[in-house]
Amino acid sequence: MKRISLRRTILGRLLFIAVAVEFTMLTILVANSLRLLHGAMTTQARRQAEQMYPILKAALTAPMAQRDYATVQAVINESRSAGGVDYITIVDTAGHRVASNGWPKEIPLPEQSVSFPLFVSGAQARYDVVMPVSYLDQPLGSLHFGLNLSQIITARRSLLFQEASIAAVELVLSTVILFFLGYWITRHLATLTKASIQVASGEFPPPLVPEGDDDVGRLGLAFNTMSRTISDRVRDLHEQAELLKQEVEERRKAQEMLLYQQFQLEKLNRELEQRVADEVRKNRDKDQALLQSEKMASVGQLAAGVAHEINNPMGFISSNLRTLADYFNQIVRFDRIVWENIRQELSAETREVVSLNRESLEIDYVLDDGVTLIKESLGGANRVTKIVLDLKNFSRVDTPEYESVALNSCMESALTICYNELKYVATIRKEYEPTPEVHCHPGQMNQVFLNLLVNAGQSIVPMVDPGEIVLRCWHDGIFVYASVSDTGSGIPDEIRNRIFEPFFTTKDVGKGTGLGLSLSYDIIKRHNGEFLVESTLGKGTTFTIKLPLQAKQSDVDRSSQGVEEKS
Amino acid sequence: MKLFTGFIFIAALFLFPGTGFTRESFILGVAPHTSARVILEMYQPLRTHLEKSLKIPVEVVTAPDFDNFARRAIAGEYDLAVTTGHQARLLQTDAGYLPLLTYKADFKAVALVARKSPIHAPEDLKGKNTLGLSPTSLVTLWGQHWLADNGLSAVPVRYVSASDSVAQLVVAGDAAAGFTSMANYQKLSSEVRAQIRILAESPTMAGRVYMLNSRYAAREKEIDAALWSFADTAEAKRYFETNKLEGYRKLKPKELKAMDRYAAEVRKSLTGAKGDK
Repeated sequence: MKRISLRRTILGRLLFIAVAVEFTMLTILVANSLRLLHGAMTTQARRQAEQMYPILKAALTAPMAQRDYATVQAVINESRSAGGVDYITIVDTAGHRVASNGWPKEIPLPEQSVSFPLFVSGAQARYDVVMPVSYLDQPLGSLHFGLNLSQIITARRSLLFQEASIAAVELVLSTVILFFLGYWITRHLATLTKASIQVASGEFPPPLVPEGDDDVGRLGLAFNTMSRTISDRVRDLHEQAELLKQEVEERRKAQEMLLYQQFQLEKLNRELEQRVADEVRKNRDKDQALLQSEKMASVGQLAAGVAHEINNPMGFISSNLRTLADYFNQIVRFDRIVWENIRQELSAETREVVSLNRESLEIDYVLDDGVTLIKESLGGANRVTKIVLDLKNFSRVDTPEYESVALNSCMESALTICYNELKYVATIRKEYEPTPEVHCHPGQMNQVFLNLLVNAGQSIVPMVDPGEIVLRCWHDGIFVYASVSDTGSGIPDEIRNRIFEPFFTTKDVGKGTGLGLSLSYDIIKRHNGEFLVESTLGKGTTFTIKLPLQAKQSDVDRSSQGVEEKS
Repeated sequence: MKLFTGFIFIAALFLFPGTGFTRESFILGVAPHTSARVILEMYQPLRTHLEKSLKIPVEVVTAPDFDNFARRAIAGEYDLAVTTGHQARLLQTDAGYLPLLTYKADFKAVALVARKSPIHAPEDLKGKNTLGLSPTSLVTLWGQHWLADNGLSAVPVRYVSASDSVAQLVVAGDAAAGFTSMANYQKLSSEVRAQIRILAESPTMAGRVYMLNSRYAAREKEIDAALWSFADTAEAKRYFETNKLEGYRKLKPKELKAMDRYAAEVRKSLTGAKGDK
């Protein structure tokens, strides 16, 4: 236990207070004694002066009236010889010193003292008195005398010294007595304090402090009782605290479990929300894809129906045209033979008439042009047939979903569909390299290329730039690449990351739905491919499709399923 | 010069503060015909009146004895001297004092003996001793002349300072007879007077005479008028009645001159004895 300074102990404070009180009281006592002494001595001195005055006055009145200054001198000599008076001087009414004892002639007489200088020393310890000497109303002169206060001051000093000595001795004795008294009272406090500290630090039970019948002994008894009670209470509290601690621990674990479950729930909730959102988006995409597929299917069916309806007439038109061409060739050959043979036989006149008619009827031109017309008609028929075929190919209504096709054929089918739109804004350049076929969904590929071609055409501002759309197709042995480049306005950087978002479009209302690139992106992803974009603002954009050559149907299906599940 | 004088005066005030400035007083000297206290008491009404009338401070003083009084008077210490006729004559002749007035009551000297004393005639004093106030007092001089006229020049006269002491000493038996004034005899207490009797009394003589110092000659009428106006006051009447003086009266012609005999005795005494001053 750290030892505390005396001034912080009860003993020290008790001593300090007691000594301070006693010092104060002694000081007051001594000061009061001095005050009373001063008062008493002042009274005594004043009374002495007052007693001297009438005596001297009585003794001096007659000789003063008689101007018997020898008698006056004798009186004051006699008076001063008794002691206690430093000087006596008599001044007549004219201000002349007529008698004096103890005061030099050359020094002016002092004035009446206003106070008793009991606290000065030396020659100043004197009380000067100036009193008139008169009888009845007639002034006879004045009496000047100085009371010697040295005895009074000596007595005051002696009293002060004695009182101070007594006070000092009393102070020392009181300090010693109070110290031992305080020590006797507080002697068990150290033990009590040590035991209290042990109690405070939780050391139970503390050592027993001394007990007894006196106040301190009763305090020790009370402390021992208290410490035992506290010890029992602390033990109970420890037990309750342990139980409480266990309960708290259990509650903490339960709370942690609840928090974990809450976290899990929140996580699940977030996942659920995400899945719902994904499902919603997937459903929307599926709806869009379905809508687009249905649209494409309708277009395909329509095209297939139209193609079928056109194919039949176009079949016999083509057939008839080829037959007609054969027939016409035969007629031409026959005309040449006839004309060569009969022209010689005819008269000149007839020949002339015939030649004129032949010329006027432009038979030769008709025959030549007829061949050409038939040939061109046949070409047109073939072209219609091809268009119908391309329509059928684009819709693929009559083909399985996945097959191995050449990407350039898909590009051609798409180009056929939109060529009529593109030819007014750009020239089409095709840079097809021979590429292996890719296992894919041709209809979806057609849709991808159709979207890319339509976007390329719409990015070129007609009549401003001489637009060009380049279709490329190549491979590197692992992937097959197909790209559509345009010289259009390009894609700003700030929206480049958003062009594949559903419903995002920069086109005017009614020109685009914002689904083309989004669906195309999904289609390529389902084919385990990549969709690459390169664009320079103001110069043009190149969309490149990268499809793996080794992709199998199962991979494509799994990928497709995965995408669908994700969506 | 005035400035220098003023400076010296102020410097003196600072150098001697105990002295201070004291206004010049009018000194009323009264011959010591009785004790100094009685004299002061008797003449306080007159002092007060003179202060008011003359508008100057007035001091009543006396002297230890008649000789000293005479010497001081001759030396001019008193402005107004109240003394016996023979000293008044001396002051008039030797010091130029101006006689003003005296009391109405007759002044007589008496020879007192104890009532039970066997002395009934002057010759009974033969071989005895007597008491007088002072060698130059009028009553003492009368007594000495009375003894001489009765063939008792050898009777010694012992001098005491106060007239009441003379009566007391006679009663006590210290002397066979004592000389004092009739006025003082009459002022004795009845108990004392009951123990003494008058053996002889003098003819009427000029008693206490008011003599003005010649330096106040210019104000003689004023001072004389002041004295007469005092006589009309209640205090004066009480004073006259108490001391059986009956009032003031003017001096009779040659009344002072009749004192030449006694004045010469005083002059002789003063010149023969050493002054006390």
